[in-house]
Amino acid sequence: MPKPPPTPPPLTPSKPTPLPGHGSIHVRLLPPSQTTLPHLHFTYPLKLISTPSPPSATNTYQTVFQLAYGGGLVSNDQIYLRIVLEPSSKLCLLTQGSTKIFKQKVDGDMTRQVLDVRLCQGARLLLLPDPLQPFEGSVFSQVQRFWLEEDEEGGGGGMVVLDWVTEGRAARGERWELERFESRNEVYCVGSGRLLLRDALVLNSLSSTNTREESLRGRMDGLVVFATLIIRGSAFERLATFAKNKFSKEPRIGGMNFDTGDNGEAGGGDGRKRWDVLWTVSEVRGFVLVKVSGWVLEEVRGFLREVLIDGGDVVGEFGEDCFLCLR
Amino acid sequence: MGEDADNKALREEIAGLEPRLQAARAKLPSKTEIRSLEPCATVETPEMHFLLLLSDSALPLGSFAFSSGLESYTAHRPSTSTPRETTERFLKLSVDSLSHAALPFVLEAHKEPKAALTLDDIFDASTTCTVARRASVSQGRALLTVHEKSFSSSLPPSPELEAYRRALRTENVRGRASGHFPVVYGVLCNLAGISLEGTGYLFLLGHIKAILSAAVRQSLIGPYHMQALLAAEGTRAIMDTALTVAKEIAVEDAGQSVPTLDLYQGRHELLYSRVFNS
Repeated sequence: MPKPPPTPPPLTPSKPTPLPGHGSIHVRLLPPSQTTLPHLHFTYPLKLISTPSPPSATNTYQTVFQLAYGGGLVSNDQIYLRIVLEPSSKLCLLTQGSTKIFKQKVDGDMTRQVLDVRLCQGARLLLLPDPLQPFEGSVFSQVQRFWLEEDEEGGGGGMVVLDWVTEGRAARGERWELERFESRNEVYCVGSGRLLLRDALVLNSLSSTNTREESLRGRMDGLVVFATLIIRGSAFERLATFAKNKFSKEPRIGGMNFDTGDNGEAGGGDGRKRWDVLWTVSEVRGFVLVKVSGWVLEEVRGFLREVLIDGGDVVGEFGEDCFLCLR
Repeated sequence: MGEDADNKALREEIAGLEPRLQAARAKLPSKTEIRSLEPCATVETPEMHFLLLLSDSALPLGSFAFSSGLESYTAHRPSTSTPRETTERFLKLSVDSLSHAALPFVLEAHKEPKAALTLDDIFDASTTCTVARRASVSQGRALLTVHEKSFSSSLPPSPELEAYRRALRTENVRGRASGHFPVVYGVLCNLAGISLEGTGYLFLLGHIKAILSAAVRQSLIGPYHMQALLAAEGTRAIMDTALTVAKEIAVEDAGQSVPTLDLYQGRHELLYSRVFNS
């Protein structure tokens, strides 16, 4: 029998559990447009730093940086962050640099990161972290659960979530040498507990004893990063439409390009750089998912930045300061 | 000498009687003859019978229209290896991906046919590649139709499959089922009395046959090599591994283990010319 769905974070802020790696954030809108953080708690090895939006911004939001000591998670670190966005509040959650995941020290240890976010009516979430970077021999599991109101469509809320992972310390020739990596993004309905979306990536190093099998690195076809951008809600409808249109205008594979002679621009019609990425868009149960991969991290970064800026909504809601991880 | 002559006479008598016996049998109404064959345990068990029916490529599921991403995969990876190597590599990747994503749902649906609608909803939420969704729904609905029109008279009644079929057409959009292939497959195999392992094996074999058949039609391999691959020890080994892996994965823990496949398959729609639907 399928397991019953997990429970959403409670609306009323409770006393935070003083467990290592636990944290909680409560985001509240003070009318007319002032977003505040009545609660912000964290315990080592998790650290949270908040900054309000610049005073010039007409529509204020809060930015929180999620940090880890030493820029990463060591073997058996357990991070559990719980966030509640009250009605019509806005939160931008970022990191400062990639999250390095270090090698497993003791057999059976697992580095874990859990994020639970509850979005009330009209709340808007932007989650734009730097990529996860699993090192050789690391064992890591991440679950990010998002809870939406039953009829969130009419409320003007929404979420944009980026989840991405890179190959490791490429400078040391470390390419997909991780032991196990798992990242799940799940979206639930608060009332019914119904699962709306589950996007899960599960990577396993293949037993080295079996020489007939291709290694994980070999399987990746030279790709160094896998990114998934999840877009949902009326607040980010323009972005979703933009992504869909952009994908439908992609050049056909194996066809003749009849445009090349006309404008003489290698970078496509508008004369801009064509990012060297492999990407696709899918529309699933009210979500738009953009999956991007590439052979060079910078190309994927550039591509994502371009989509988010040209899509309009994110800049409109959160300004351009939120693109730290894409610079 | 006298003995020999006796034997000869007897043989002649038998030879004479046999055609008479046959002629007499032929005169009997044909119904009686069928009844005389009815205890068909010597032919095969009903489980084996349905196992063979479900593994038949003539089963009208339209599986021939889907390459499970092979077509797009070959288009994205211009010849770095021989077509034969390409096919064999893709087969391995695709089966590995299947064992982490769809196969756990087949097994769970077999174990819990009553949970079919919940499983269908979870699978729908978990399958994020548009092209793969289309292929799954198209074959799943076709299999439901095959059950309704062809098998329902020979199998015990199934309230689960009835409810499933009704849920495909329900008015309420939120409660509407999609009819995903792995879930329908698991429920139907359970109904036909096929074991859990047998069901997993059958689903894998069907997947492999569909890929290899697509590879033949794409001229990557020839029909003899397809049969060689199907018979190969290596192919059976990857099926065995896949089944072992899938048995350990709860439907909540299913996921994509070969992220490149989602990308290649998602870009299938960008192919300038295409033979397959996936």
